[in-house]
Amino acid sequence: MRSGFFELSPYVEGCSSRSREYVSRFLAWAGCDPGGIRRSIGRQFGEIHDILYVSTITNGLAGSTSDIDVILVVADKDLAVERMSTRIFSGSRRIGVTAYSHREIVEAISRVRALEPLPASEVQRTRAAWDGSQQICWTDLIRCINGYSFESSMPYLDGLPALSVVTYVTAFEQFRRAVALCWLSAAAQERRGCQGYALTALRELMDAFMARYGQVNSGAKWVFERWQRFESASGNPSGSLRQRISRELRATIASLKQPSQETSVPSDVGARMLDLYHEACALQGVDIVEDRSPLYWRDELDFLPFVENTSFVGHRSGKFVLVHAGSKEDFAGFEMVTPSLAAEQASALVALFRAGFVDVPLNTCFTAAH
Amino acid sequence: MSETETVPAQAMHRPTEKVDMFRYLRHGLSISAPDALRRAMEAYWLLIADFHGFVEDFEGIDGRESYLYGLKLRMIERLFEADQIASGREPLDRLHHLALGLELGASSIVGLSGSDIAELLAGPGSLDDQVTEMQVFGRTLTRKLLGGALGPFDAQGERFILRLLQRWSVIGQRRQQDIQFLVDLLKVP
Repeated sequence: MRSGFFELSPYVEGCSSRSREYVSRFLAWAGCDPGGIRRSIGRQFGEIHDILYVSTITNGLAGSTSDIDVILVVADKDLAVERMSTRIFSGSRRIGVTAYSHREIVEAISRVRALEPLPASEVQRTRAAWDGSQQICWTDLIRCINGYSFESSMPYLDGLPALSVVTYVTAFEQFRRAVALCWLSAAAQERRGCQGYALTALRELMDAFMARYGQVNSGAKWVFERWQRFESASGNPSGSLRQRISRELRATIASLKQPSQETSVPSDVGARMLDLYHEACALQGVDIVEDRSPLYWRDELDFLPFVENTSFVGHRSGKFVLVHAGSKEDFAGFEMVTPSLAAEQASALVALFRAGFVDVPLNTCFTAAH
Repeated sequence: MSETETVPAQAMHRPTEKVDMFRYLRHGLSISAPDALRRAMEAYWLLIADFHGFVEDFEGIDGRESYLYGLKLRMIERLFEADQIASGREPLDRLHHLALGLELGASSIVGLSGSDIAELLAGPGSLDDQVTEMQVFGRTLTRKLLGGALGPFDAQGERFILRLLQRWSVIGQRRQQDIQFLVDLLKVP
């Protein structure tokens, strides 16, 4: 991690007391007694190493209908039991229980740490394959690291720096892909699709931005509320990019509220998001030149010159590259496609993206994050 | 109002009627297709796993507007995902779910209030005693394809899930179909 890029200290320093306050407030409101919860879990599961409050109850996002989610940390020998999440009750309040061993959690955190120095493309690939290859799913790993113990501590918080880097890199890459698709969708005259990609891009950029300051959460449904809180909290960074993200979100939501039949295709949304991408690259430390990468093209398709003045050619990587006439020495992904793409050509290209035939993979590191 | 008076068309439409989703789910599945049973079970599982939770989330919005929008967008993604599963199409990267959900008819959801959405999913009034759109949909689907399992809103804790899985297991055996994928569904976080 490049020193100074991630600023976790302010968040980490107040983390434990904040979680304690959130948990206490919710339990008091819900009329739940921590001792009673522990007894209920103990009756069901027997001997336990530790219990972590996780998810909404620890980060102040719990609502009146929220469950109390906990992760049960058990001894390794007890992991022969089925790992399926279980719900039990404490009074009328549901408690969602998932069990992992201490060793499993520690090993998962060390695997995340091992990702930290890798190029962004490898981080992205490993993260994408995580849930199919690891005992602890990514969501639960985030919960463990942010979990608040019944013993009034956050025993896995030392995994937060590595988690922040991986989250930043993967979220920024998703932002980048969503921007490319937003541009194409708008060029293809899709009435709502481009706004959907714009919202997806904004959501990912918010996640990346907050991860830089240690605030990592897996739930997409909370991202706007987390962002709102992030914006209003004292001590958090202000600036033109942060304000612009909020402005774009408000504008896109307002536009979606208009009846579809009365809405023309928002022709500027693609260009706006592309501009946001450039601003984010500049302010978040991503070098646009290094970031540029060829379009990925599925190998079984040899050649498809469907865009005027544009052709797909072989690349030394074995992939195919979209080359725009006159810019052969300067090939790149969607940026080079934008000047002359007609609606039907954009439609064809966006369909190929959706079918998984074309992609804009990240090639290089985020210079500021590594 | 006299018998000759008419109600303006716009006044007769509830906001939730503008939502056009479940294209494949609403049109039903052909059980002659080799993988129809699996598709139906997976789509229905998604609804069981998620949508009762969504209704509760909308009920617990507590005036948090930014949370409401986050929930709406997430719900649109999951609706699209369920519809894709039911259609039998190749699964798409999740990056496309929201965009295609909006493009294909769910954008009206963004303008609905939390109670409107609860109504869309669970019918007007109390969630406990109304026969809901989702229940009707779920029951129709299960009656046709899954041996008359209960709807997702009748869930009685995990006993319901276990009964449902047991019933699906029997159906799978009768149709001589491998139901190992049910185990994978259980593992999905």
